[in-house]
Order: sequence, then structure tokens, then C-alpha cells
Amino acid sequence: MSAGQKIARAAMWAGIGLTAVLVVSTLLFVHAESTWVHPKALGTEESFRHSTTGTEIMPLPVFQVLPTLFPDQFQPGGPAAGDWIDQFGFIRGEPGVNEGLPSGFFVSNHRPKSGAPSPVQFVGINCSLCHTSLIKRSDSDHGVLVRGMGSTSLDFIAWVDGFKTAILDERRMTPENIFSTYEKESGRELSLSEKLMIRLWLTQTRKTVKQLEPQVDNPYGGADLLNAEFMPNGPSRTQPFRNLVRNIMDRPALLDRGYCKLPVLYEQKDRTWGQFDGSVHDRLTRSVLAAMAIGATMYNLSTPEISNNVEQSIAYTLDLKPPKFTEAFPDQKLDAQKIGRGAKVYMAHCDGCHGHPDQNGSWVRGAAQDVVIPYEKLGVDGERVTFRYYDTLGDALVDSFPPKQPLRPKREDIRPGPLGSTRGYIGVPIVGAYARTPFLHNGAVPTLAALINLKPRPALFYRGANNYDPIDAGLVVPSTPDPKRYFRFDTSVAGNSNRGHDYPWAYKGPGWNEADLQDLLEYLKTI
Amino acid sequence: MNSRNFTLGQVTATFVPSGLLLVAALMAAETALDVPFQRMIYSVWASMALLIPALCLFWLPTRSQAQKNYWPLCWTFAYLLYLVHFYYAVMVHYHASIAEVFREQGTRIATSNFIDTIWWGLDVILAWAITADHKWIRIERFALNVFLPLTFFVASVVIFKGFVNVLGYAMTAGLVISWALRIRAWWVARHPAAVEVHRV
Repeated sequence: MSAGQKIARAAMWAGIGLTAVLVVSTLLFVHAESTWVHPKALGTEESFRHSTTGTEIMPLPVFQVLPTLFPDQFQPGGPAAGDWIDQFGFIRGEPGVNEGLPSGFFVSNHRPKSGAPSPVQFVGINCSLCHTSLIKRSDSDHGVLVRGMGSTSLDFIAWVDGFKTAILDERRMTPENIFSTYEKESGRELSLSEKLMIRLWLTQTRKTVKQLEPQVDNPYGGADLLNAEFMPNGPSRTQPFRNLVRNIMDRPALLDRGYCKLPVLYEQKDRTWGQFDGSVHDRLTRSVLAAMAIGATMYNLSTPEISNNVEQSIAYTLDLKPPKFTEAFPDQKLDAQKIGRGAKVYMAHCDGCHGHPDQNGSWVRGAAQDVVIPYEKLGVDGERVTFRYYDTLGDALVDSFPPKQPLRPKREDIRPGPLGSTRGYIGVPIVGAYARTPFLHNGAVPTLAALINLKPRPALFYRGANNYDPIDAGLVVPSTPDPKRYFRFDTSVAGNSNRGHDYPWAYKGPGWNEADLQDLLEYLKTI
Repeated sequence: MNSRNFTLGQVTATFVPSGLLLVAALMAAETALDVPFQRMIYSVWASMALLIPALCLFWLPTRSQAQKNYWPLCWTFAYLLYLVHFYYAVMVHYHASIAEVFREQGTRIATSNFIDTIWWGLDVILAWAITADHKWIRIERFALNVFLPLTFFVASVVIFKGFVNVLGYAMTAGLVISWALRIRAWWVARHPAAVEVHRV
């Protein structure tokens, strides 16, 4: 055998050996990957509070160092206004529970969007982020935690913009800064796989945010995050269909002013159609669309673990109720006579659209419950139901799912569609009325007293971590800002109107009866 | 095609690309949104990349020992890659449910896919286990080499769209050329005089 032949043989053996090593390594990697995720059978409440719904955002180590790396983004009100949890209205978690993360954040070993296994824990947000609230009567009050209540303080969209601004900062948001800050703060050295995953995540996330910039503009950052002119949603509100228009129709939705308060999720068994405009029928579809609006995909939502978590979370809300008013405020005594008289006022003016609870607490349907009433008739703000693409989004939504995708909504479960096209708002049960503040779909009315026109509705007020007033049953809203109440809620701005829903009567209008309204308010505190 | 005397070069020339294609199929899917689904797709592409030469080698008029040797190697590695595809399809995508496979794919396609898997597997075993030339094996293999490309043609050209069409058309072109050469060789063998006249 010549030298050349020997070299050729050696090269061939090397090729075979190297390929074999690569194949075996790959198979071992694929096997290891399957061990990174440990699905657990969680109960309904645990699923609602701590499970992944396919909305992973960032690796846990990154989440833990971001506020240190970017105080300008995560403490936009300055250090005196509290830490990032305070400033964006999150609810502080318990040390040692769920990594000590605020309510609504979870950790999982799924990668964002694909749901593929990750050796590194990711942090994400789930239903309880927006649908859990703290009722506090003063800034020093520890408060009453109410699961299922729409958060009254969470300024999530501002937090997301701050996060995106941080991602785009290529000078400070570097893997090396993340590694060194984490290792300094935690005293733990990150593993090679953690470092690799963080690098990969940062590259992909930055690329995604950059790709979106031409469509949705640069994110705001710093003090602008607290400015209602730039961040018009403000605390406790969202724009539920803006992200769907962006994600599904690839349109900027720049003129969308369909602001909505974060809704309550009480007794969902009695809700036949979801959303304030009654536009989504099937419960699973409601949750899927909500999750997809904040980053989940049809792919990760189809994985057995995440799909089960979503179903368990839905199950948790079927019979969920807030505490009774007198449990939340033990020092508040309700007047039985006023309640009795108020019930009659309620039955005369409110029951038709909202129904009422019977002696056993079951909800008795109103004659017009589940009917979508035109917004012009109600006299309320119409931006939520008149946004561009309102008519075509349903078709686009259904078509965005492949025909055989298990999560593909049925067309008839989306309105406008075969089952109705009224642009208006749906009459729904109002169990836990006191714990549904702020009121109207856009959160423009801070108290029940103002909603029923017992008291005038404030035209301009400030929102943030507002305290609760059990007398008027709603949020205390100052007319001047302070570090905790920074968002200027101007009801003359498009999408913010506090007009309409003048039931039983317009404020000091024909038929207005102060005594009846005081009775009605007392009754509303009991349902 | 049953005599065996594989050279190191022949093994290298088939094993190395097969292994690299497998690695690529499994790892390229890591960046996809649906990792198991993409592994299912990429692995069938990899399988076809080996299947095309295997089918051509079968239909080409046999001339050299090298051709005889390359056929079982390509045929086997293509099948192993196909098994990876089959695993991700049936065990992962369809949750190990035969009923789900039939419900989602329809009876005709699901049945032909299962026939492909079983028949091809048996033939690979035959190719390695029985080196003697039996008429029944020739008939079985002939039938399989008609049936298998037909099902792959339907899947890769008619049903699905995208890069798989490139592989589908490449397979079709390769087979047409192989059949033409085979027919020509058969015709030449049957009419040697005519060939001599033509040369003159």
C-alpha cells in the first residue's frame, strides 16, 4: 500500500469516526433535551398562579439583573418612587416561593415561542399577572389579594417598552455585562449552557425587536414610560386587539385606541361570550388569543404541558369569586334596610342586562344578558369597537391557523361573524361588583358611586397604585400626580371617555334620586 | 445486487453523508418554532437525499461491482433516516396514535405510509440477510421499487409544496433517466446486430 493510499484510508477512517461521534453526540443531545422539561400535574389554582402558558420572555438570570443594569428603564420615576415592582404596579411575591418572583411570573424550562426544552430556566408571565389585584386602603396597607380581579396597578405595556429599550441598548445589554452582574449579585457562576443560551436568546430577541421597529416604531424608555402622551394605556389597561393586528395582520395598528381595563375573571362559567364587546365565544379560544397577544404561539400552546396548563387555568376561573365586601373590609358595616331597598332599584334598572344573584348565590340571567348593545345606545366610548380592521380581524385570525391546527378557532366563535356584528358592549354578570374597579370597559370611572352617577365622574385624575375607598367602592384618584399615581388619565382623550352607561339616571338628570342611588350602592356591595 | 465486498471508500461515501444529514436534520430544527415538526420534515428530506441514488442504482443497468455495493448502502441509510422521520411523525406529531394518523392523513395516505415503512424495512433485512439470487426476491424488490417511488412522488410532488418539490422532481428525473438507460440496455441486449449495424 502506497503512502497516498495509507493517508486516504486514514482520512476515510477519520471521517467515519468523526461522523459517528457527531451522530452519537446529536442523539445524546436530543435525549438530554427531553429530560430538561419535567411536566407536573398541577391543580387549577397552581396552574393559574405559577404555570407556563407559553409566554416565556427571558432567561431567569437576565430577568434578575435587568433592574440593576437598567435603573433608568426599570425605575423611571427615580429611586425614591420604589423598585421596579412598585413602579410598574406588580404585586410583590413571597421569598422562597416561585423564585421570589412577583405574582404572575413563572419559571419554566421551555424556550420562548417554540416551547422547545431549555437547560436554562426562563421567566414568563401567565394569567395571574393581569388577573390578580391588591386592594389597599393606604400606601402602608398590606392589602387584600384578590385572584381573578383585574390588576388595578399593573402598567405592563410600559414595562414591556422599558424592556425593549434595554434590549436595544447594545452598549450596556451585552452578554458579558449580564454574566458579570449576575455573578456579582448572586455569587454563583453561570454554567456554559446558561451562557450559551443567554447569548442565543439575546441575539434572537434583539433581532426580533429590531425587525419590529419599522412597523411599530421605537419603544419608549426612561421617564417617557410614565407619560400618558406616549404611553396612553397606563396602569390596569391594555389594548387587546392591537397586538393581534400587529402579529397576525402585520399592520402597525398605530391609530388603535381601543383601550380596555384588565378584566375580572370571576365565575367564567356564566360568561358565554368573552371580551367587553362579546367578540370571542369559546373559552379556550379566549385564553389562546390572550396568550398569543403576549407572545405565545400556536406551536408552544399545542405542547401537552402548556395546553394542559391553559385548560387548568380556565377551570380555575369557572367558579372563582372575590371575597365578600365585608370580608375584604371587616370594619365596614352594611345597612340591611338600604340593601333591601337597593335591590329593588337594581331589579328595576340593572337586572335586565346584568342579571342578579339568587339566595344561594347562583346567578340568575337577565333578559338582555349576553346581548351586545350598540355603543351609541349606551353612550360610551366606541374606540374599542371601531378600530381599523375590526371587521376583518376575525377572518385573518382564523386563517392564521393551519386548517388542521387543533387550536384553530371556529369562525362562528369570533364576532363580528356569523353570530353577530353589532359594535357595542355585552351585558354580563357583575358578581363581585365592588372588586371590578375601575369601571366601564376603559376603566374611565374609578368608583361604583360614580358609575351609577351617585357622584360626578372625575374628568381628569391620576392613576398608578391607587388605594381603595370602601365608601364609594372604588379607587381613590387624586387630581394631581404624586410618585405612586403618575399616569394622567384625561377623559377627553380619544379612547378614555367616561361618558355613557347612565343607569339608573344621568348625574342630576331627569329621575335622579340620591337616596335610591345610595341604596343601590349598598346593594351593589353585596353581590 | 447481492454479492458483498464493500470497500472502505464505499462505506465512507455513504455513511458520512448519511450521518451528517441526520445531524443536520436534527440540529437545524433547533431554531424552528416547532422543533419536532421540523425534525420530521428535515429527516424525510435527508432520507430522500439517499433514497434517490438508491432507486437510480436499482434501476440502472448493472455494470460494476461498485454499483452493486452502493445500492444496499444507500438503500439502508435512506431507510434509517426514514425511520427517524417516521418516529417524529407517528410517535411525536401524532402522539403515538395510529387512529390519529389515519384521521389526520386519511386512510389512503396513512395506509401507503405504513406499507412503505414495513415493506421497505423487510427489504432492507432481506438485502443484508439473503445474498443468494432468488426469483421471489427479485419480484418483491421490483414491486417495491415501483411502489415506493410512486408514494414518494405523490407526497413530494403532488401533496406538499416547498423544498421537498425539488427533491421530488430530482427523484423523478433520476428515475426517468435510469429507466431510459435500463430500457436501452435491454434493447441492445435483445438486438445486438442492430447495434453493430449502427456502429458500422
